[in-house]
Amino acid sequence: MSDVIPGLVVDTAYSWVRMFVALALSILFSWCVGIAAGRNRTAERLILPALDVLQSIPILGFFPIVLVVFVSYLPLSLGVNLSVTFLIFTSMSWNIAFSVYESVKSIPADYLDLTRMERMSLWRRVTELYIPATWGKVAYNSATSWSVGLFYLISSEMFSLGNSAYSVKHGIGVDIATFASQHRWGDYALAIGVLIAAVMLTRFLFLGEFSSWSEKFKLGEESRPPKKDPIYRFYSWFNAATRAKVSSALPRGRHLRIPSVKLQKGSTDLRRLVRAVQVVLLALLAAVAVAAAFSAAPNMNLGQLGADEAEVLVAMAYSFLRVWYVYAITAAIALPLGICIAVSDRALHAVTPLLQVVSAVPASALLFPVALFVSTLPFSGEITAAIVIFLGMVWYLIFNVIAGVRAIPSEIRDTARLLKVGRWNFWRHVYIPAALPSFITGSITAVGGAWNTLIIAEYYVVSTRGGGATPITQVSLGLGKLLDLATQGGNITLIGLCVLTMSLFIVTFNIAVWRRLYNRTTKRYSYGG
Amino acid sequence: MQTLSRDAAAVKSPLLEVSRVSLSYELEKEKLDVISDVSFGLCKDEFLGIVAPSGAGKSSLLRIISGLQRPTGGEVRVKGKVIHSPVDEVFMIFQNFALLPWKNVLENVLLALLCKDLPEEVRRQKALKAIEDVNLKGFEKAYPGELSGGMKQRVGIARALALEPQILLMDEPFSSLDPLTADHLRVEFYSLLISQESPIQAVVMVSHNVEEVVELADRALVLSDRPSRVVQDVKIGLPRPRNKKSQEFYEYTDRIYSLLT
Repeated sequence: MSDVIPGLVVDTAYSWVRMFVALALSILFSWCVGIAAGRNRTAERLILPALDVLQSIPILGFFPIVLVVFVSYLPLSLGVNLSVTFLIFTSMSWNIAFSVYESVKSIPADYLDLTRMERMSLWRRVTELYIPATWGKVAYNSATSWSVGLFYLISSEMFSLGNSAYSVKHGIGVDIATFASQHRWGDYALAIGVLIAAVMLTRFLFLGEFSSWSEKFKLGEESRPPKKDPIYRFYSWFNAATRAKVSSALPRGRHLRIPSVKLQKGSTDLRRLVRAVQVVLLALLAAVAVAAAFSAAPNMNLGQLGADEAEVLVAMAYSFLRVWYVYAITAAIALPLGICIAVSDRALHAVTPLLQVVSAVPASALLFPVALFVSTLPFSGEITAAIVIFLGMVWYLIFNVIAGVRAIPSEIRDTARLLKVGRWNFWRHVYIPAALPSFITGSITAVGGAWNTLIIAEYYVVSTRGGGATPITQVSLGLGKLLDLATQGGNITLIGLCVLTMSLFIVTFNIAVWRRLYNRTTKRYSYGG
Repeated sequence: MQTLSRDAAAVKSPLLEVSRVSLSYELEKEKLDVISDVSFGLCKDEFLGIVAPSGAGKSSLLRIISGLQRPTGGEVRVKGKVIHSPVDEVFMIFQNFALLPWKNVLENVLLALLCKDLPEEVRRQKALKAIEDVNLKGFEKAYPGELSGGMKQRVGIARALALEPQILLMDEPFSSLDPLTADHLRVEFYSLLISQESPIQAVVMVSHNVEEVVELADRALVLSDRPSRVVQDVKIGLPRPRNKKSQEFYEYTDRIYSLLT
């Protein structure tokens, strides 16, 4: 049994190369796009809305593009490798790009004046000022992007489309899926073990170091001496990473406003031009979408389109309920549990290493035993989906709650103790409100992630090379399942409808609910001396 | 006869007694002494200032007196009783105010009265009175984030006033304020807390600001650098209100400075 370990290590190395290439590409892409948007108002007006739309597209929405571009035109092995890397890239890059933009925008004016007085060339300005200024947020966003990417790595190294199955030759995701579908659970456990070890090593040797190294690039802020306790450092790091992702990834509603006819007073010709370009681009986008829809389904009629859209809406309603009831359960467990762990030093030190190990496994890798375990129960598909969504959410919530409670200044704890407010009042007036902002931050990330998790949680088949497709799990109705089936069947119209409806819904929800909630809690609940 | 003499003894016995308190930490085989054998007493109507170099364990000493932290040696008695955990008679004002950012001024003050067995309306009246006393009337609904540093510390003082402790501990209460605000608040604070109708009977203030201690305190307890020992207990016999520019004032500050170094 142990003879599989060397193979697993090699396969993990291959997977990690894909991950690192995707991360490096994401950072490069983010610098190009983010610095351009941060420096130039014209670029800003074109890039930000584009990013907002792109980041709300469910990752599977990129799948058909990937296949058409990479698999059809390139040699198979290269094409499949590129597809996997590109998919991971799409799951990693948008929030990093936003964080670069934000960092460039928040460079203090003094520094910009300085570069101007020193007559720096653009290239030197980019390398000496813009890029260093972005390191902090890039590092923290890389950490969250890494775990999101890992989720898709596991499930995209092996994928099937219609009757054809594609798979990379070496990859830990392939190993996990193969062992699980052949019921070799001993080997499966070893594969998970190797995966955990690799994740932990990456976290501590690369991601953690990356973010503490990036701290020294903070502009115009005194660096605070880092806390010595490694446990405390882990939680505050995790919280900082989630916050960085949320603040970067929540759409700033104003950029999404479709250019209004009423131009601002004193608008220049340039601004008018930008508006015009925006309108043209939007029109083009719409035209392309319509044209694509029509060309893809030549005998499509409006009735069919309406029926499809109705199907999409029903599926989305199911998925919406699924995400939110699982979120409610997860939150009801994570909030009290997180506080219980955080208030006791002993519990925190005992539990943290365990939590770190368990949380290192992406939910997509745990799908197989979960599905098998509940397969005899009624509604097994529904339960599997719930468990996978739960696993995807729970760490964001627990870790952020712990970080929030641990960040309570000791003076406030002391005051509450001196006032002898009692245990229940301590929870009600101190712990729960203190945990709230980071809990909301965690919730935004968790729920946002859950929409993407659906694609695997609601429907999953493994197709082994040569063999047929083995269904692992499926629910009765859901957007993730619909999208999967549409992709499998090559139904571009339905894919388009799914992606469009879901993106619109997510963007609206983010602006209407999360952005507001986030702004309100972070404003009121900061200690600020 | 016997009862009478016991009563007489009770009157004389200090409100607060700190006897032979020491504190040390175990740090990877090494033993780190923070406080070593500190003793002093505090009587009714006394204002004690504790001066020590930075990092000498002043805050730890206050936490021990408040019952938040157990000393590794010695004991603290409040009205003759040894304390092991926070008691009703003692409350503390902190350097960084320790206000709950998610509660407005009134709610922060009300929190202090939460565990008092009082009707809702009485609590509210007490809290509003305390807010009025610190000149924050009109700011009841404001959140700490909307207040200046000086106003935040006023809320901290209002919370202490509402709670009506007999002994008030203060940990660098003015040091995170700008000098002008601190000057202002010191004067106001003294007249407020040490007034006749105030329930507060004694104050312990920890500070590294010698002038501040000479301005406010009846006695200054000078501690040495780590481990903290009592260097000297200086009685400050200046008449009030104290003139910070007087020769005597300089003499006191000079004397304490020389004890510190």
